[in-house]
Amino acid sequence: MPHLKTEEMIMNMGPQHPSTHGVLRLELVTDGEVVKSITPHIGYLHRCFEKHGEELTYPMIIPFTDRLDYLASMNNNHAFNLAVEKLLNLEVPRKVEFIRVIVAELQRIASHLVAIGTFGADIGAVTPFLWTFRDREVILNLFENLTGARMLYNYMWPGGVARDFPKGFREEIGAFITYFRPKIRDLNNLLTGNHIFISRTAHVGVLPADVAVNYNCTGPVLRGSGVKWDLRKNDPYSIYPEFEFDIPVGQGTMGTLGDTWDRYYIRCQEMEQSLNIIEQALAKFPVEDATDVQAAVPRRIKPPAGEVYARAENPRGELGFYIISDGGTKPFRVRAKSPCFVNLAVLPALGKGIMVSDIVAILGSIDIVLGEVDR
Amino acid sequence: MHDLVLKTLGIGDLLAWLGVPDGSLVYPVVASVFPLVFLIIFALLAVYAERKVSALIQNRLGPMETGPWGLFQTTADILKLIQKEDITPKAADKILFFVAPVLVFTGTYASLAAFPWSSGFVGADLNVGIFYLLAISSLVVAGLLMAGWGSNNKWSLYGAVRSTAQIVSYEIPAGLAVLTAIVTTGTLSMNGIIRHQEGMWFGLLFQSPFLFVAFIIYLIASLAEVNRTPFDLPEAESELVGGYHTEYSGMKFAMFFLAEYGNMFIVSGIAVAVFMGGWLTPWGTEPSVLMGVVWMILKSLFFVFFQMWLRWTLPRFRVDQLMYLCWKVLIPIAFACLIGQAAVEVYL
Amino acid sequence: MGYFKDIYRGVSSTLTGMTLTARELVRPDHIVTIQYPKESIPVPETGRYRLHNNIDECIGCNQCANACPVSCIEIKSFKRMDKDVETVKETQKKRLWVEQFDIDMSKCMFCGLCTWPCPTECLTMTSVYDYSAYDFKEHIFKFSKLTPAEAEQKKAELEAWTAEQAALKAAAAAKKAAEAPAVKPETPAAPPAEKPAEG
Repeated sequence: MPHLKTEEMIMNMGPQHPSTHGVLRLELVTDGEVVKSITPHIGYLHRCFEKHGEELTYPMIIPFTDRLDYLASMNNNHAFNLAVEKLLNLEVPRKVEFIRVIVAELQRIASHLVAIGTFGADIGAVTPFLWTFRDREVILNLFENLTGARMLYNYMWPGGVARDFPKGFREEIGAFITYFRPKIRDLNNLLTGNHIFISRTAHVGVLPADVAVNYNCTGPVLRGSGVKWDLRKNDPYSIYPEFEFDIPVGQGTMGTLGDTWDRYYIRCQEMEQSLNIIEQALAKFPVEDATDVQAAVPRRIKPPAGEVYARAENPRGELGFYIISDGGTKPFRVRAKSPCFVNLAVLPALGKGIMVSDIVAILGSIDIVLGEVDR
Repeated sequence: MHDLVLKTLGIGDLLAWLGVPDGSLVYPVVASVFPLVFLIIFALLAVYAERKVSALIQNRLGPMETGPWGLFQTTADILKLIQKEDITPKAADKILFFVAPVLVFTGTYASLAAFPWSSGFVGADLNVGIFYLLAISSLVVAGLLMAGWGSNNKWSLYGAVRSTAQIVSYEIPAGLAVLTAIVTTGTLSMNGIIRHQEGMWFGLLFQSPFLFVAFIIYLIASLAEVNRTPFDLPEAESELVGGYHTEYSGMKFAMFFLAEYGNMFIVSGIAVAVFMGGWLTPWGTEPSVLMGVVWMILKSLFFVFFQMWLRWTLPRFRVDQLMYLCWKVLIPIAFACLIGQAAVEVYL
Repeated sequence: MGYFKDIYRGVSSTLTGMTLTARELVRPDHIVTIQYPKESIPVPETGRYRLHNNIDECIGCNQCANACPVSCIEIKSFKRMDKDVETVKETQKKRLWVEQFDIDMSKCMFCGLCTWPCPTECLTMTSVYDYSAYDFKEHIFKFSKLTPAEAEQKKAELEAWTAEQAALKAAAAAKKAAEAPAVKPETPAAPPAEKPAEG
């Protein structure tokens, strides 16, 4: 009935909304259930990370990097320390690199578990959410044992890590791997393969590869569109070149290439790849090496004047830190290139002519953490 | 209804023994209070059961603090809801906002009038009993629409419009599925339908493949009618915050809740009565009046449990998929079943 | 035939899911949550929760306050008299009276950076995590053992002692100067004349 006149309605989704994953406000222009356009409004969680960085010494900034993407603190620490080490031209002991890779990959699993669980909850399946949190809890317990904190670790320092693995810790990680593999299978059976889930996610929010590249998307969002780009392989850092692992990319298995389901499934596959990396790292771990993990940490971090950009593959994409040093103990400028912020920018491009229910699916598949979007 | 209730449960004798004169107003009051009490007690236990089922599925403990194993948790919740301030939003349509929960609850409550508890224990054994039940339980739609519109909240409006579209659509496959059974039984009276199933194991369910499929269709459609996952779009928490009851609080919210769980029981009861032999024993003999009530409730509770089980397993449909399922899958198959069963009745 | 395949997939994946959830439903031994106030997850020794300062070993060096990114540690100290200087942990000398050692746990971000530079390892993060309060002020933990009166007294003593020391020093210097060949007799002679008057 084209002659019927309909009226557009402006809806405010958030900042208090169950599935905006934090204090994000989406301004929707809707025509019934159909969304005409989406405008994200951000900044509700702005905490001046970059300004703080100018006032603090390098080690003091690390706890603040924890709080950017609070689901992937280890990876944030890692990226920031890569930058500082590059600035200092600091050699990191091999054992420390192993420890860093293991905890970073564990953190990647923990982060993906939250992403998958909340995505399921957004679609309406609550049980996978609780199941993934149950498994994440195991990782958090491991981390608490190692670092003393459950979420905001402040574990990696320039040139080292705060603590060595405690006794029996590697065996505990091994036990976690054997525990966790069947849980991924369960999750795939319950959620990934569910027909309702597939019909909710396949063909929805299709992000073509060229659009993804033009928007500078990174991480699972980019790989979901079929672009094989992972900094662990493409711009290797730490000791990642020593491990064999695949970079899962979207295949369009259930629908179109680059749809919500592809982006979701990348995370499931990446968890398995992370398990592979951890297994290899545990096997190659320099057990005999009695180096103090803090040995290479400089007493006083006073890098020479200069600027540096270092990046690492966060669970959500490329996290980069750009530091300008004026030769003092505090950086002159610190800037963070946040993957969530960049990935969120693609939402208006995806959100045309979709339905209200699809917004939560797309937003969930982009997997933003507002702590990092707003910084 | 009151005569029957009073007779069967011995309440009448009790009242007479207490010295209540014949024809006194006390009798109908007691008779109408019984379903209400049952509804409230059922809702309390069902909410508790739902929380426990979900907790166990999700490897949690669920409510544990109030009473043994948290048994009184829902009672405490209701007490809290009663005490809460009754907030009406400034911009709300006061009348609609107030009437909506009452209307929703009325639909549920009125359904119990023709609910076949047991052979001699059915409020009104109408000769169009099943028709009445299907019709009166649709009263909910009006209530939900009023709630959504009256709240003057965009999310509520979405929920209301969704629920209307959903419930009206799913009436059709549900009705067709029931019709498939009625082709066999040849009566619309609830007790008539049940009596027709005497001597059958598990009632009509395994009598013909058409009836079995019709039962599945009714089960799916009834889920949609009571807004349960995977059809909980009207209150889709992750999309519409709370859907039509976003703005409700306190006792009005509790009425919606009560109605939702009451409806769960009623649609399960209809499924049991029409396809599973109602108050008959599973092997098809007629039990005593009291045992009939027990069988009826037990069978219904199984389907209530089934609804909970499904809820904590499945994700939610999208609006267009919901309609696709109804109009393109359930209705054609239901029609096929109806015609098939009719053919069976005519030629076999 | 996609239509029937769709239906088949819908039904079969639902049944798979229901089997999985039913499997968990009948396994109460898989329950992972606990009833918190009654039981709790053991906190490892490394747990980084409430800060604690063992003031007996604290030398008041202020390194922790300098390391803190959020400035939640406030230390005020003054010098000890030589006779009061104690040795802790065999190598470290307590040369200061710590008059105030306040940690505002409501500001603390639990990064643990303060614990690392501590020379006597007296500032530690303990496993106490349940200490909520109704007032922010209750989260300011005071560790100093000196009462204000004691501190005042000690300060007065210190001042007297400092003056005494200065006088002794001056006297010694004067003596030295007197013994030494007097090149400039005015300069060393002047302070002893002034200082006692002040004390």
